[in-house]
Amino acid sequence: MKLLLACLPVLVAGVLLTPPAQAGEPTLGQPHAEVRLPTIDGLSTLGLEALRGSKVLLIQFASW
Amino acid sequence: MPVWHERTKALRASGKLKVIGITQEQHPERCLLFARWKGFDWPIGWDPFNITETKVVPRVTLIDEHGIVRATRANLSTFERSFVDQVFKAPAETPATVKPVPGTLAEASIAKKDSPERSYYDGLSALLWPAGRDGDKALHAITAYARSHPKDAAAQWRLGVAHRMRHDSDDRQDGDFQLAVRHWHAGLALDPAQYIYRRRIQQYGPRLDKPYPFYPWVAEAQKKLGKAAPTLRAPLTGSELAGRGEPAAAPDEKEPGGAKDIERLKDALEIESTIVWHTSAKRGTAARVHLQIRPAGRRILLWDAEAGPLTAWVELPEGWTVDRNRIDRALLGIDKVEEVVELDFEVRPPAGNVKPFEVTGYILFYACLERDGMCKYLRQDFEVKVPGHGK
Repeated sequence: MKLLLACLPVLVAGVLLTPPAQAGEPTLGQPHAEVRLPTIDGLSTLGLEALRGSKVLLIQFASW
Repeated sequence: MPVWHERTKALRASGKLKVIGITQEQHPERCLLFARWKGFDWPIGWDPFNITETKVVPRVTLIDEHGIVRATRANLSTFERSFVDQVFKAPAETPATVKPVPGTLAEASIAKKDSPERSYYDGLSALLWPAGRDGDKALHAITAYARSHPKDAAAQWRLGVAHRMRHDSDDRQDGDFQLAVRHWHAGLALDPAQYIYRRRIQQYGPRLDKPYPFYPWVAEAQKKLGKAAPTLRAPLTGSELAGRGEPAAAPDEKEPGGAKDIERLKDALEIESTIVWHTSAKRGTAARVHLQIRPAGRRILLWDAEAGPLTAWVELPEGWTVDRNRIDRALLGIDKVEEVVELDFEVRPPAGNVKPFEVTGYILFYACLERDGMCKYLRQDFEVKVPGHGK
């Protein structure tokens, strides 16, 4: 896993204790489950909680 | 997604809208390459284990300022009027924490310490945020959980993802890729409608199982970005570039001349094989065979890339077919002594035959030997045992 370790550095130590995204399909009119995932560049963490107060457009996709 | 990127540019610039992305791809740097190529300047989360339990992509969800879901299939032509321009009322009560669904990762994340569920969750987290954490311990925890939950489709599939991660790392072990494929199939068998699971297998599988080539845009993106292009951890395989409707590679059925007389070595190369069957037995029993070829340290000093390409010759039992018997592959260069050469080809058994069989053949290659520094044209034979479909 050495290469993996090198490719995905973590900047914030607290992230290590942070749960990743919660499970479940989004439901209209219900709170969206919290999302916590590493970003694709490995440099930070993506979370919905930090965006509370803003309107959010969440795109789930693949480059293929 | 480029269309959403363009359509939301002004809204993002004005601060009226935040855009974020999530991808389930195995290799994050491929999506990073795509994002840089397309100019995506919004954050994208990496969810290789499908922790979000997404069933299908692409999907665009609209979430208001209070965290409430307002659309799960956003409409490009109406979302600005029906969402961005609206003022949504705060919920009467602060939404209670959503109770996690039993058996899901969300439940595992709040399980008590030292429980298998918690170890499983910690293992997945360790592979997502690996700095300073023990990858093998993580894989062991995920393995233990999957074994004790044989009907948990996500656990089976995620174990496959973890094995493929190790396969792409410096700590790879022989068989990791095949184990990944086996567990991906196990997850799909338990949840056949799971699009994400199916796509991961099809990425490496036979042509007729492919809806499209997965990464045909990579070369163009790398060319455009130049040095700004991220390094790809795993090289693209032929199967990832092959499309469903495309013909097999241009046939070059001529067996290399004089192959019988070329000096044979038995252990100059390490040749690992991985078999990926079609995701549905009903739609065909073709399989793709992946070979990973690397110099065995003690025998070969380096590939002699300038002397010529590596050539593989593939033979099958009578009645079985292969999309190409001969594969020529140029090597990168003399400074790439540890270059792993990845080859793949597609095999098809006679109609109705799903029994195990063997693929045989040989590799011809130019290399300089450790023993005397001499550079020669060499041959190493190989044999791949292919289990029956679904094995």
